[in-house]
Amino acid sequence: MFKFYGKLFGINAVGERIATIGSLNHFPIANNLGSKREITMEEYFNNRVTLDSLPKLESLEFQPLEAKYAFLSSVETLLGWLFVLVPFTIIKLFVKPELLPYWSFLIVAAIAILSALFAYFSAKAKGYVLRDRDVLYKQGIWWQKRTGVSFKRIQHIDITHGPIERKFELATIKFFTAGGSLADLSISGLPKSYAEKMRAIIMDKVGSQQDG
Amino acid sequence: MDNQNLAEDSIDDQQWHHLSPVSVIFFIGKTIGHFLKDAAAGLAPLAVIIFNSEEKGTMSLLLGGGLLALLLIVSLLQFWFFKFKTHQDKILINEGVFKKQHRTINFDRVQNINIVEPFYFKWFSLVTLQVETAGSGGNEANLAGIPITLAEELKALALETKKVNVDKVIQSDAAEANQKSLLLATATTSDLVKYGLTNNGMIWFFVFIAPFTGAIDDLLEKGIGQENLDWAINALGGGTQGGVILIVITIFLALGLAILFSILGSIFRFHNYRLSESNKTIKRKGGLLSTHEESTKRRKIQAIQRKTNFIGRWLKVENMVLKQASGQVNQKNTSRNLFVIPTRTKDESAELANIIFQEKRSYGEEKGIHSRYQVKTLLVSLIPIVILSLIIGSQLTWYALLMIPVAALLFYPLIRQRWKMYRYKISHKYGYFQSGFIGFRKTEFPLFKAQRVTINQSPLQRKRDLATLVIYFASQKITIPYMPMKDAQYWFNLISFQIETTHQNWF
Repeated sequence: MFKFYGKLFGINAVGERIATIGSLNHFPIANNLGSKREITMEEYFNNRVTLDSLPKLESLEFQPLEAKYAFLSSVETLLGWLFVLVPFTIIKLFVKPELLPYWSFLIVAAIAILSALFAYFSAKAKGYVLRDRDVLYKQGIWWQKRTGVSFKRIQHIDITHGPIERKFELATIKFFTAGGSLADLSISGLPKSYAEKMRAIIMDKVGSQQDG
Repeated sequence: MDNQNLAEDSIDDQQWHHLSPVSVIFFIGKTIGHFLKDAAAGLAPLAVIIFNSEEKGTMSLLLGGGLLALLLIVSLLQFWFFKFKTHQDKILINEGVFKKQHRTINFDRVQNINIVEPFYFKWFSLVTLQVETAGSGGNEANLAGIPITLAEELKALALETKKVNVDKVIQSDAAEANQKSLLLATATTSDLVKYGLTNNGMIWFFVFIAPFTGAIDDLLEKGIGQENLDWAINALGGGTQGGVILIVITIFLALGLAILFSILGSIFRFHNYRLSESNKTIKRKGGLLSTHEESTKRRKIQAIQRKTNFIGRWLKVENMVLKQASGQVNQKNTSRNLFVIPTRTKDESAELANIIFQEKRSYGEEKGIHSRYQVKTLLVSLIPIVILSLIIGSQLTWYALLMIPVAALLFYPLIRQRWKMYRYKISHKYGYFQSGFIGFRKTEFPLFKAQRVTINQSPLQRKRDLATLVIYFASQKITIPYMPMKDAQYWFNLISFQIETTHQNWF
């Protein structure tokens, strides 16, 4: 069990410290106060968090998503292009063969492969960090985007899995905050069981932090 | 009679109440609204019937009378089936003639509770109580036509219940709180005229671009008709000169009308404007025909925005908007939730901001954004021109490519002006962001109220170590483009820090 999460998160990359939350004693989460030590209760309640002691955004190491997610992304993209190919083929075979020469199929196939490659590499470029008070997510190959959501601001969390995701035993976790009509942060390519545990842990923290 | 009964009834009652019979007016209005929205297209067959009948007059009278009777009956039935009662900490509402609807509104779910006095209720001392809850649009209620005393009692009860849930103390000191209210701002009619002139940048924008778009020409032709147009041009001297004079006159007329409507709108909305604070609640009251009263808890304010257009800068006045969290689904309410404080001077609005934030903000150095912003914006704005000139070039003449440098020369001063207006600064707890063109929009916000933060970086930005910072609030988002990456990271880290260490709720 431990090994599984350890492998998933790469404990050493995220932080040596292991937060102890709920029943999942060995759930690795990067500590907001730096990876070398944990904050004590006393420090936390005496509010001795200082800006300098927070790990800087720029020095964080993001966890890549599951390897099979990149494969899934390209499969999904190829399937999307298949929908384009169907009417193409129908036109070629039954409607107006002279309208579409064979090379037009090659072009569509080339675009499909390129976009599948793009999907593959953008999935590889995605990553996240789960710290003990917030979650950070990065995406984008050329146009890069990094988003941070504090647990204190999370309204609710959804987990979704499409038919293909189910086949791969992956899921998407969506964090919603106030004011936005769309999912504010959604992380795909997580093992289903892991996404559910992530939700349980974060919801637990959301409750305790919002009460405070 | 019914009014009196209502007023005498105690609030927490097991009986169902009707609204005042006068509220039929409200239901008529509501029915007409629904009708225009959903069923206006259904009038077409009626029009055909009238048009095809031999006695058009009688037929229209008959159909019109029928529609009117239907309207009246529907409204009466709606009034009759609308019943409400309060029970402990909730309002129960039953309504609907065919489709029954039972609604329960818990006071502790109430986001906003407003008392509105439409002009048709004024003579009867009745008001409308608008209750808004967080979340979906279907969850709100209008109690139209209840005595003002009952409305105030319900409002106090709702606000109290919310408080009780926090404090676990039951008290009803609404009356006492009212006495302690502190007047924050008023607005004279001259202030409202200024507000009408300064609150709407778009009117001016359209007036300025209209001659370039040829829209005026079309409008004149369609609106007046070719014959009248020719006549008018001839009357003004004929030929090109006549045409130009006519266009100029039309522009000025349109401008005059737009300004007039803007000023009238301002007076209708804010006549007798009073902004006060009592019990940590900001209350605004005003309106010529219908008096609107809106209130919000001070801590619910997400940001303060000060804005004005070029006239405002010349008159040295600005308008303030207190930004509140907008419902997730109920976007249509956003404009109604606008908490506007019209026509303040710079000092007045600074003082008001101090009162609302309850502290002074000591910001660090004010910075502008990086000059690369101009290059990027110019390149993006030239894309359509480049495409257009390539098309024209390939079809007609390659001289069309000259459009590109000409457009660049025309656009550049505008882009530079816009770039110059971008300013930002940060204190330990607050952020400040300014944008604009000739007018400005200055927003101040407590950092801990941020919902989430995004740092975006394009390949061009990465080369220069720049980034675009987007801060999402429950009320709006703030986008600071082309700031140094280290600034963006500092903002990001400081916001995370403030969210963690501020033990205050964001709403």
